[in-house]
Amino acid sequence: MDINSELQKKVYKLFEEGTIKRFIGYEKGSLPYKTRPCIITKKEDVNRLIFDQFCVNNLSIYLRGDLEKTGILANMCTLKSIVALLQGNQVKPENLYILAVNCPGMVDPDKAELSSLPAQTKLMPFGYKNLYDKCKACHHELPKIYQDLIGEEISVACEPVDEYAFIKDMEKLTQDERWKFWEKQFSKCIRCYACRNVCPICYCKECMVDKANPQWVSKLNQSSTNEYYNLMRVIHVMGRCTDCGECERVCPVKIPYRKLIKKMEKEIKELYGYVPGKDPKELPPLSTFKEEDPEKGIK
Amino acid sequence: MRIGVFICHCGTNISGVVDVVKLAESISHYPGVVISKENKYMCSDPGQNLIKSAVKEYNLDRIVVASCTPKLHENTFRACLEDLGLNPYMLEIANIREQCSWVHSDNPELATKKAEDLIKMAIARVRFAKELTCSKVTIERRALVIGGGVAGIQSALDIANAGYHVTLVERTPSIGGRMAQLDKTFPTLDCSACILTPKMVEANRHHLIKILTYSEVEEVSGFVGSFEVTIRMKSRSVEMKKCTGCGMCQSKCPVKVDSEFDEGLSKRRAIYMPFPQAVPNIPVIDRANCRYFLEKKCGVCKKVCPSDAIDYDQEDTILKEKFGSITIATGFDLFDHSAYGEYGYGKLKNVITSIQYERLVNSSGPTGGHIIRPSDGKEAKKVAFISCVGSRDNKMGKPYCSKVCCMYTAKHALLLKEHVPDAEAYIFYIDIRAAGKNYEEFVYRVQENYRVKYIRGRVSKIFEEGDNLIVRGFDTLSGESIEMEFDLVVLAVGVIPRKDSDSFARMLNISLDANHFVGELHPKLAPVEKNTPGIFLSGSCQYPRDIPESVAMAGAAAVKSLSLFAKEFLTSEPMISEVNTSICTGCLNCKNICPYRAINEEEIKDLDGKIRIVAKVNETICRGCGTCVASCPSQCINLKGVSNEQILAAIEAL
Repeated sequence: MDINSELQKKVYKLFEEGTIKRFIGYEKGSLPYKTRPCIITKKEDVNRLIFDQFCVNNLSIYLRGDLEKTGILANMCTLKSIVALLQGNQVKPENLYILAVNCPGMVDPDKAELSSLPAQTKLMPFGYKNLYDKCKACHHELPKIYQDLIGEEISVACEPVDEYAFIKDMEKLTQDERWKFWEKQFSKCIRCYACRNVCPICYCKECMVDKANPQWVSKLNQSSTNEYYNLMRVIHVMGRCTDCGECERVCPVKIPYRKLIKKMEKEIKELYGYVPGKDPKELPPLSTFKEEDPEKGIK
Repeated sequence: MRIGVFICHCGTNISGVVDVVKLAESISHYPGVVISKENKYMCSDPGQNLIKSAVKEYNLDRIVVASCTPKLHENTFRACLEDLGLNPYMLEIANIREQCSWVHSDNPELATKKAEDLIKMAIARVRFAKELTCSKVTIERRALVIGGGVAGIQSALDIANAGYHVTLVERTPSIGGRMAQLDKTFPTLDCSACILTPKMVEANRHHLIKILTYSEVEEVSGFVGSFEVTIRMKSRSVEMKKCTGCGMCQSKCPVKVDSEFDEGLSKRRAIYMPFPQAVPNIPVIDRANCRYFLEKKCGVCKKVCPSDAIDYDQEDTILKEKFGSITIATGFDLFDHSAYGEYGYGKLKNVITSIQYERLVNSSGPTGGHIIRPSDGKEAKKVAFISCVGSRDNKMGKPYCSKVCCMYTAKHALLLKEHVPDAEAYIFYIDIRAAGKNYEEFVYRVQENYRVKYIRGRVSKIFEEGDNLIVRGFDTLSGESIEMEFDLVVLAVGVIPRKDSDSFARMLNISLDANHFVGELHPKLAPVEKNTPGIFLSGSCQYPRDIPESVAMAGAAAVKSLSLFAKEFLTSEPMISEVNTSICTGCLNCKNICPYRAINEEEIKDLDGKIRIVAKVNETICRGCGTCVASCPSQCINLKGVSNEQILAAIEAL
């Protein structure tokens, strides 16, 4: 049975049993290599649901607000973000049905030769080299928070990638060189806030950049405030960000956010031995107080 | 908005560096500032009158005082505003002494500029100042005392005698604590038990004191005036109401284990009272050693008990009660001298600790007051006393002086001479610290009248030779090394914090000091108070204390409880955090991170009728530390009186 019929069958059953009132998944987009998120509320619509290697959107963002019995198709990145949402009390686990999928990694359209696209239904027709960078470093260990699982188990056959390799390259630069690099990157920013809007853990009711009283950050699009905004956003999600890479993917001016986010992740890992997106019961180190915290002064 | 700025000379402390007159003049032109004045001492009556008349004359509604640190005179000036009928929180202090004149005396010009900046920032803050008010909280007029030693007993008595209910919780089967183990007390040589037991009995008979022995405090929540405490009363396996304390059970019990009370010098039974004068006079079954609980055999105590008080099925009782105040009197532990290789790693039989010696010389002790050697039961004729074992020793992580050892060692040597007149006593010491009423005279008497020999120097090795011990050391006064033979060596082991002080502190959410004793609020001016209001300290949990000090502390701690109970109600601190629930996402970071456990979750109804969870600050617990403000990802928590608005305004003013 191919993965699409497996998915559709399972969701159909969930609707029939009354386990869920709506389901968040993907449907085919207007281009062969595009998919888009869709929300299904009737069992008759399940044949719209698909899963392939272009299902890159992080669906957890649609879990915000007051949910009523919602099912969600969760690839690796979505699953990790749900962990972060559970940690921040943003979803009620009792209202959530997670259908996890053994995620083979998503294809980066910038890398793949999409003109020669096969009319595929089977997964993994694309070579490893065409995957997103984040997928190349993926460990494929799904956090055990799902109710059901579809898809064949992924055997990590590819060569292991040091997920921090590009961070280590950055660290070799001098402070000046790094600052010049980021100055250039942030000067491109048009303050469209796509990175913020797509981020699953940017769930503040009123964002710091929108606040007027007091005004934390100027709304002017100029280099100093752009730097302030971008750095502030990265620090804001530090220790909670699960590196789904959506901010970098949606950025219209291609600011390499993962270079900042992975650096923060590495710092947190080295300081506290904590990797986000694994266990909802373990709270992020910056939101907890533990006896063995390195800061002796706050005991 | 009518702001008045008042700049203090502080004698010459500020005006010696900062050009105060020029400063007052330039600040007076600052927008919003109606009047700017300077005075020699703003905190003095003339200074305060200057503020008062200026407020009246210029109809000021908020003021800035540029003076010393707000820690010193913020309350003075707040009271001044209150007298004028203004809200006391319409005040900002610019610290131009500690943060300016004292540290920049080398550059008066720049210091004046910095002082101006500091005042400008204070003006920016006071613009956003809001009127704050205190709320009233009722008081549960009952005290909890943790620890039934002399400090705890005295605290309980003092509070109860003033007419309030006290619950005294003691971990062991009897109250009495360390003092019950001691023989005589320095410097007067009163019998310890003779002066303690009347107090124990008095506490037991007091109609306002409830004594819970063999019990432990398990959980504390709440806040001053209303602590919610969970106490576990461990099962005694003896029904307290039925037991008459006849002692038949302990005489027939076949199990023998080392007695804690006699420090392992004698045996007790599995069903036991720690000592004959125990209060309450009711035994407990030590289930870890009882044959009935280990092998389901025996049951002798149940058979012999004339009042059928033995109940093997008794279970722990959990008590949940509310208290207005908590007094910590948990006492101390003693240093384990096996850490010292030079003293034989605790393996030499005739090397004993000072507390074991107390039991040896005690006439109701295991030897009936005969000072005999543990190895062969021979009377000790030549005894070495070594002080500072686990005190004043950085190598052992104990840099502090245990304070009581010099005195009790002198007493021990004296008691040796009294018990065995022809015995010889040598005391090896570093310094003799005898600061206390009649203490120095006592040491002098021990040296002169009792001919106890004091040798200044550390002992480098103790080893066995035949039946006796050889003590090798160095006399730093004569500059000679010494080697002497002794029958018995007594180590003056240091006073250390309770071994479970870390978990105890976590349970009460209080801080410990560097040596893991319970830290006080202020070492000089608030020695029996904690930074958590409503929690007080008594006795050696805070630092090694002798009996008179412990008793004095107990009284002081009791007075703190009483002055709390004497109030009609408590007022809460107004400078605390508040949650803007409209933008709170309910992630409860703040709850996890709050060091005072002041934040809880609350369900609210949104405008659209949906129910969601937000954070709620308990006004009486919050101390306004601001940790939650920093941790809130949505900046929806604000600290009243130090709001984000005020801080940003101050930064902008720079």
